[in-house]
Amino acid sequence: MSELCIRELYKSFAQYQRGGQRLDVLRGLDLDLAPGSFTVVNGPSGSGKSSLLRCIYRTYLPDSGSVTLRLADQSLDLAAAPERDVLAARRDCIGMATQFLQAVPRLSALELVAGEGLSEDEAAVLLLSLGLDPSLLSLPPATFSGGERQMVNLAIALARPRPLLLLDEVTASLDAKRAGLALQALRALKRGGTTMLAVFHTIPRLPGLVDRVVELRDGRVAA
Amino acid sequence: MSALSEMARSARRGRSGYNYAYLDESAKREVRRAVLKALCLPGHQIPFASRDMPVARGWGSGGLQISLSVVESDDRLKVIDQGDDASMNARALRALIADTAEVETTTDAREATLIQTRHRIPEDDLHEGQVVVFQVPIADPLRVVDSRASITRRMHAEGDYSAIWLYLYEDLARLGASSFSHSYPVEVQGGYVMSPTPIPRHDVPRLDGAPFVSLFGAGREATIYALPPYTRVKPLAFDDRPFEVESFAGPCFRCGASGTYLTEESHQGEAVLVCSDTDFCRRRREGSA
Amino acid sequence: MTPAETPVLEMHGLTVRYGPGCATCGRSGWVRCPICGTVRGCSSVDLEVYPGEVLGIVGESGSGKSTVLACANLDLAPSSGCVVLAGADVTGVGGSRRRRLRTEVLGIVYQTPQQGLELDLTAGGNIASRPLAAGWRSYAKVRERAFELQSAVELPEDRLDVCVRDFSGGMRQRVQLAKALANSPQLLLLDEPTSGLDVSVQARILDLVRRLQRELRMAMMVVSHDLGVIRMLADRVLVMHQGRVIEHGLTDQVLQDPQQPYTQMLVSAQLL
Repeated sequence: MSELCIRELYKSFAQYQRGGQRLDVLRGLDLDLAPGSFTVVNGPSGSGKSSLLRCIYRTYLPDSGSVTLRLADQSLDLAAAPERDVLAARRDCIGMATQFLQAVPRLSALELVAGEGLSEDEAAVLLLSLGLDPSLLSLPPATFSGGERQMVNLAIALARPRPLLLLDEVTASLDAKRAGLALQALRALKRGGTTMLAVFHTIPRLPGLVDRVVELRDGRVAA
Repeated sequence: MSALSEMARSARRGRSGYNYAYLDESAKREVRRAVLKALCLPGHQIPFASRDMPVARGWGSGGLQISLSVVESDDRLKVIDQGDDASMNARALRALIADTAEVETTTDAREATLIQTRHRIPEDDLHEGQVVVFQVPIADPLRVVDSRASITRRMHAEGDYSAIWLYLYEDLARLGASSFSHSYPVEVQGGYVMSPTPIPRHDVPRLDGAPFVSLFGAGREATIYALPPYTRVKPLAFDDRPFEVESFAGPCFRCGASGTYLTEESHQGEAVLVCSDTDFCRRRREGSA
Repeated sequence: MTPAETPVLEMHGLTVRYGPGCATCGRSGWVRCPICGTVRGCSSVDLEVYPGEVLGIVGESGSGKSTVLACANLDLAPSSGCVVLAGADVTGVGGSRRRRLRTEVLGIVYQTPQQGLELDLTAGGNIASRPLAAGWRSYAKVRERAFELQSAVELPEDRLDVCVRDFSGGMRQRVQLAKALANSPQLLLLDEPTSGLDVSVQARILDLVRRLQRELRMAMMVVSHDLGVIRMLADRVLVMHQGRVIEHGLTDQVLQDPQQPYTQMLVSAQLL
């Protein structure tokens, strides 16, 4: 049985400030994720890859369809669940790492990661394992470069493993060496049983990481 | 006896041309009603129709109206001002009450049945059956925290005394001690917070469980409040910062008493401490206290 | 998925009208009734705030958000509908019961410090006023609590016995916050908590509020016209317009995928 089951997912955007122009992004998308699998969503720019992740995370409110998360004996339709249930699911079940970091201005990288329930030492080990320069640990990420922020962002997502992790271009601004470190960390997480759905600019070739690549076309998964 | 003949009888007594005890009968009745209400609700401020008196408001007109309303011809009257029987104001008030109500006067607090006082309680242990009438300049203990009567009335009604506790806190935080040298706020019978009038802190504990009746009259503010005998009166103080009375360097210069409330006086150009209760001091020196 | 909990605050069908009201008011869509001049403060507002949760209310001036907050703080009795605090219906309570609820259940930080503080009292006195109202009668304990809170809101230690009038705007807000937190409220109400402050102070105050909210696992309701404040603090958000809740959702969802034309306008008008 799949851990995440998406059925007939529709999402469009109405641009009321542009005279109510509608933009269809997802048009009846179906997708199943097996527990512990690593799935990559592929497709041209604007094909709705990020929108799909955000619909799952409920950053976007789907127009219709269902996004059912099944864990143990519980299931939750993220597309329609009450806000509080979604918040609880975000806390316990679904993580999301994006290429952008919206961090609290004054907290240091270390405090941000430790804020996910780690000790400062554990947080430091995690950040360093992703290749962050040790001198940055105690600085607030607001001053970091794009790649450095991404490392912090990924560390936050890895700090508290949840059963489902959504990854939106988490290696986009990293150099080859650090991108490799990030992918290895994800592979380790996969071995721990985390189900992942990812968008990458270029599909990683690290052995043992990607199980399946799905193509998005016309707002649906291409057969 | 009909009201008319009562009035005729009382008009015959006392200083001619005046009603018995100066006030007319209906005025006295109104004051007595306020006094009774006040005794029923210890510490609660009862409004009354303060009359124009032959002393200026603020000079004891409230106490005077109570004294004149409760005085009876077999009373023995003592009037003091800050412990002194001989001060000008005490003399004037005493003369007015004694003349119009035809009562004997005394300076000995133990013998008096009716004592009108400003800012002191006599040093003698008073006993049951005595009535002490206090002259009150400011009736509301919450005046220091808010000058609006509408607000302080609400606080009294709801038993919300956090503002005065805050005042005590601020004193301790800023000054290290309470700034109330007199009019120290007290809690009456676990209920209303009351101002004991500007008596020194020395006299405050003497109100607690006192056998005498305390009546408080504020003429300018048209307010009466009271303590029936044996009422619990507790000065407001933090558990860990207990209430303290004044302490003095040495006994009374004149009579040698210690444990009395002393005031400073000039003796041959030097400041000395003497009992503020002049009659008590005199009797001690004469060996009759 | 979430355990059944009692909300700290519930409002059902909350309607506030300022004015006499007439037969037309209820039916007309007007904010100000053309017949009797009654102004609709808010209309049929439903909301719930659960323990540990932060609800934001956003909207422009006059949208009714402060009316809702005033009802939550029991300053205002609704014309209809009800207010439930910690499971008890408190619609229209006054007097000592209201005072007790404000002392024990609620805490509030106003936009302007002079609304929430006695400027002529010390910072410590302002903070101490709440434990004192709750019946604390040990000076040492009250003092200790004031010290605790003063360090929690990062006020310099030597300022505790200084008059609040001598404080800067940011410091005064910190004192307000300490005062609001003094009795560990179940629900903290924030009314435009940083609107009067410059940007750098604003960020630090918001940071502080956020940290304290997490540490204390306290429910909060934040009212602001500033989406930045809402983004920083709120888990969920209600968007109000002309007295009605026109949209609600998770904060990131409302900000990134606003459904209503008005909300889209509001989001796009933000200076980011």
